[in-house]
Amino acid sequence: MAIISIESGTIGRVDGMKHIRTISIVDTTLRDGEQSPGIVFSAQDKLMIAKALDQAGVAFIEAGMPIMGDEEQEAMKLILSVPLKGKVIAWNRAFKEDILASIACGCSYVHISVPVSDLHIQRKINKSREWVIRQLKQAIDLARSFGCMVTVGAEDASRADMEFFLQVADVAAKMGALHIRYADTVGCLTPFAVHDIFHKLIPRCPLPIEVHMHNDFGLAGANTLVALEAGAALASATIAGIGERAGNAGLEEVVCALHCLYGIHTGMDVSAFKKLNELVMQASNRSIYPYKPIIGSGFLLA
Amino acid sequence: MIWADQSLSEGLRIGMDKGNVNSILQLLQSLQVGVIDVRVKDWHKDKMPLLSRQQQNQIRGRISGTAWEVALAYKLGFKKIMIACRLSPGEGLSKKLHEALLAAQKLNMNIGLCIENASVFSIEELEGLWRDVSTMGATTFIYSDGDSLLNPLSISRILTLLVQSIPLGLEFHGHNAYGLATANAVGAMQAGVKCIAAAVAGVGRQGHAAIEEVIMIRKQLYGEKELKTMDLAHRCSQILSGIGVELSGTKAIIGQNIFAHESGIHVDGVLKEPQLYEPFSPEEVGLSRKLIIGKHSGTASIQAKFRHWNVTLSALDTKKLLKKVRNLAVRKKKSVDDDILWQLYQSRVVQ
Repeated sequence: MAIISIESGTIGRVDGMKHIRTISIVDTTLRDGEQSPGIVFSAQDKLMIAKALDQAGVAFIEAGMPIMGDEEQEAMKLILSVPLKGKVIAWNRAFKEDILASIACGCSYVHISVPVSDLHIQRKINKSREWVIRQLKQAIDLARSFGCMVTVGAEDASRADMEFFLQVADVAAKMGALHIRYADTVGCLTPFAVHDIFHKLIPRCPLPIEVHMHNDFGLAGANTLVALEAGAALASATIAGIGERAGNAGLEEVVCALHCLYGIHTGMDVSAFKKLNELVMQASNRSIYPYKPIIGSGFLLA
Repeated sequence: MIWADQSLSEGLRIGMDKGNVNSILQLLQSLQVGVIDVRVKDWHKDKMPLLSRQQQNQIRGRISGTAWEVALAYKLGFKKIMIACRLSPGEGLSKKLHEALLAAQKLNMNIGLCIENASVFSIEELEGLWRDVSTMGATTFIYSDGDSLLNPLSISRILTLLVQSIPLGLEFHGHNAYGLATANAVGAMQAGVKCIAAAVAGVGRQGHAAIEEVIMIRKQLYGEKELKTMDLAHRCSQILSGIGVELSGTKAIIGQNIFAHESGIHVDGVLKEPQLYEPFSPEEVGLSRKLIIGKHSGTASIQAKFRHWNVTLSALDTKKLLKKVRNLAVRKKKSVDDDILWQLYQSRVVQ
């Protein structure tokens, strides 16, 4: 396997197993992906996609937001009714009603998202940092009281004060969360900013970090890879990069780059991508841009 | 920073309408293109007319490196050429390449050398190669990551070194097999490289950096606020249409739907303050915001839509309408159009 030496930028081969790293993929096609305007997955669609993701080796399947209503809850229950190796996660705001809706579906993994930038805290919800911490503690407490495993999401982390992100991570760690999601909610980071941020953040963060990048400037994949190379342990991605606005980090590009360029394992079977793509494109009534890396029809590697 | 266009070349490769070539050239000029790369063999195959004086300045002919190709390029009117080839470390320039360079030099052409597998060479070897070709008349050295092996950090490190020994005429040409071309172009920019290869929407057999992404990264993320971009989406869309490529609705920077919001949380946020969920305003690139009603809508979305129609909905009506909207969206597997939404509202008295 060819491996890039990041230091010198030259190609070299690693013969031993010494430096092989593994990261986990958190697929959010069924939640963030479906938020792309006009995409509607039926409960059956979600089930088929979840099963295919599971077969492909995804570690976490973020399957929906139960507080949205009946259809979401039906889909969540359907997915939870089949045996999957991957962990099925329900997305929640830090509100009692969100968590209870997820519990009612039978979810044992809940993601609890809080805004961490002052912009979001003040302008979106008109609250304070202290309120966010209190709300997060209550929400984690509630979820844990039902025996749920919790992951915490830091919304708009890329525009937040790093110290507050770490404060939130600290709270989450003390309350037994599995990992914390660092979200570049408006996709405004550059790979160089990511490099600087994550080299400072990783040594200080008490929890493994899941990076969640958006593609507003076409940098979601690159930013994800730079963050993982700097030590992030998990990556959010969606099939074909579908998602809000210009989308998310594309699962196919990120996984292939990790395997082929960085020598980092993901536990995923890349031969499953073609079928996954077909399923999602059909269910979402979309077609793939011919020049989309890995999966585009007009794209040739040689 | 200037750019070397790869869009026209791709258009010719996929069989675009040749009648569009001149308008594409004009549109590319309006995007401050530095040079437009085309394959000489495609120009010849498509029986394109002799290059005009103006086109001779704008267009660079790409050849693989033989004397007869140089002659062909010259016959077709090319004044600028790029010899693009793969070399082997330790072997220097081949005899054929020498002949091609000599031929081009004799014809007084503007010569660029592109090493398609540059990443397998050490910096020292590249500097040596550059010393050779520059004495033979080449004025541009194009470092190409033909096999998409590099990442933005490694590009930045390599090119920072190279730009010191090749301060003038160093270009970067990256490919997009792993979706890194734009990021790599940014890496090249950071290193001080003055000209990068790019294409509208990143089109190309192996993909390229997307010029619209690079322009907006420079403007929004690197502070080059003087860049004029209010027509960017429109111009890019015209270029794509001209070369026969369909623009995806969710293409970063220029897709029609990148400012469409449906998710209740996002709509609620954007109505309060667009910055919450938009990295820049739609007007920056000549697009507009859309409020989509669908499965993910919340009460704020419905109320905003009706406010736009000068109707204030009661909390009860909003709740009922929201339920209907969600049901319909799920049944039809699509968002709910304005006229359907209006009908649902009108039929609310009939329960």
